Amino acid sequence: MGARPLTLMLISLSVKLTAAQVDSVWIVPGGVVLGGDTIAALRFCDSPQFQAQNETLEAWLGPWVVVNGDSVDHVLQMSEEGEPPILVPAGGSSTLNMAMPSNSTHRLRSLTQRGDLLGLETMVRGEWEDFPHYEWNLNEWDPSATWSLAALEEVDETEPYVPRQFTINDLNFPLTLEDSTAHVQTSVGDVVLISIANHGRMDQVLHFHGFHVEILQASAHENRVGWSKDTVPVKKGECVVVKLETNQSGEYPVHAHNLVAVTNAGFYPGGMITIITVEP
Amino acid sequence: MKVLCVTCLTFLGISFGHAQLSPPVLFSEMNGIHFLEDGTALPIWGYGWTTDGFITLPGPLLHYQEGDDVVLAFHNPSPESHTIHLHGLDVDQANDGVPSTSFYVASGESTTYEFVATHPGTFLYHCHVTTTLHLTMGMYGMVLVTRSDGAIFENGPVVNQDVPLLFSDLEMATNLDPVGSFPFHDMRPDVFMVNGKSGSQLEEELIWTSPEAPTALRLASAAYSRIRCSFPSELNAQLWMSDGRAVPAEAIDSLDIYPGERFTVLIQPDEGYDGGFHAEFLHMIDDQLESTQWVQVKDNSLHPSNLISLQEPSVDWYPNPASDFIQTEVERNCKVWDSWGRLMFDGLIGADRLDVSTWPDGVYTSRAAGGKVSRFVVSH
Ligand SMILES: [Cu+2]
Ligand SMILES: [Cu+2]
Repeated sequence: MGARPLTLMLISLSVKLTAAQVDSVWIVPGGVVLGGDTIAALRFCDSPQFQAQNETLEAWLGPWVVVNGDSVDHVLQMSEEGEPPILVPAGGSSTLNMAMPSNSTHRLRSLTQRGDLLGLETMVRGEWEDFPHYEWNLNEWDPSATWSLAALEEVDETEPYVPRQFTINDLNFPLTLEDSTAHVQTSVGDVVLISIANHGRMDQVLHFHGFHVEILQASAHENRVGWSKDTVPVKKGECVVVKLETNQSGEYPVHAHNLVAVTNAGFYPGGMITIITVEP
Repeated sequence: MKVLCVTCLTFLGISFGHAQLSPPVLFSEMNGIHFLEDGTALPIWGYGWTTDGFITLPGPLLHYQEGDDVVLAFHNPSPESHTIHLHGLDVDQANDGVPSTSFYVASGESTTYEFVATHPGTFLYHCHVTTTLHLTMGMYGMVLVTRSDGAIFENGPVVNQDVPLLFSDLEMATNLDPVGSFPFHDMRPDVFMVNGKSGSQLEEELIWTSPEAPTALRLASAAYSRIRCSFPSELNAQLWMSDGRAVPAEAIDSLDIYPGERFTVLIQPDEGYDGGFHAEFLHMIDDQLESTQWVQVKDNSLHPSNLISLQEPSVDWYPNPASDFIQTEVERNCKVWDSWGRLMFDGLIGADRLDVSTWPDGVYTSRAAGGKVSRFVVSH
């Protein structure tokens, strides 16, 4: 599991400082304050206690036992082809087989609307080359819809969708800068990898200031592996992995270039913005 | 056909900065007007050359040669702070144009942005102050970096012309009331443009091609929408570059351009070709098709006479600047607006001179029926 030191006002506070090797992950309902809105949430947590951010699952540490602390059944699906859906009954548990190829990043998502729109979605990383590896889980939120779902109501997805909050690792800017897997910290000449998964209902596109990145994986743009780009689309459901080799020091923003997504409740700057800090 | 190529670039305000002794100065203003297809005058913010004295949508094309040490001078006489972010040029932090990590250019201040144009290709520039608002108000343009040998990159294909096609959109309500545009997450564009033009206005962007050598379409998006271009097979469209880097060449029949992305697509239709391609604007949140724009492409054997007629419709004013009177050679019906979009004159102009002696100093915009926009300056 990825470690994410974090300072954040939460309804239910959870601060995790070290990566502990555990073999269980809990589905836990709760609520978070995001950019001035309170939203209902479901998260993959590393204990039965609710935490604001989904745990990223590092596949080589699996298999995992998923314990469902929610009041309804969940059906989980890996984005990797050929993996069957896994039923995790309410109050029960199931085992998540993590046999996945190295050098690939996938999503684990809930097939129920409740799980999908409450954010029960995370990244599952295979083993990659041994470089510092950052993880950006993209999502966007309609707070009122989350409360309908929390009350076990259905949301009509054919209704106009106007998300108000846009997040990287379930945080929006400037809190993204306090997340050690969202805020890239490196030195000139060093290489880092960044896995990006779009769990939302809309396509996103990220623009890198200061650098081009090499595309190592793009599950919805497979012909783009090897391309060098500064503006990288991440379609809904897509997992993209990029390699960044820095050649200049400084602070360089990375942000969604659909500028609607760089707001918190409509106010700029916010949403999907983080920074690449490069020491000389 | 180089003639037309230069013509269309001139209309976009191309500047061969590398060839000039003192670099031209880009400036920003917040009092421009932009004409929609139906003649509506919409307020815009944007960039222009100080030598022109007015801003345009999109801003002037910044054209450099690979390897140029670029010094881009920028002056901001507008009432608010702005910057220039050189999107995709991988400039250093100081020149990145992001207020929080670089610097603002406050009202009345000037600065220079310095960088090396290390890679040929298609890039963007835009303001990075309250980007959500300043971009949609019109503060963007294209940066094109080319090579003197005509190849699109080292050992790449040689083209006979570069055609910049910058996609963008705006929400009219925001331009009419920028302060009242918050909150921003419900932004929904309703004007969809290629090089600042929509619908019938796009006839001015007609692309003339030659069967002998490919034409490079320099596609870039500063839009909020996703753009989907559909290329008929007769165009023989090939994708060669993205974001200022070569990619493995491939024949394509469609291409998605997300906000901020750029592509170089070569087209080389046969002699006698008369057609074009569609650009669809799809909403980023719900994928709804919002608009389809049509870019015409014709083989240059078809209508060489159009080369001249394309130039005609704008009104040529003299003297410019004017202090007491202004006039034009050809008698036309035309309208004149001040820089706030207020109608100053509507009628026949020609033999009778227009009395501007009581008009405030400033840049005025005129448009003859069905014609292109031209501008003149009143200075007392
Ligand atoms: Cu600005
Ligand atoms: Cu940009």
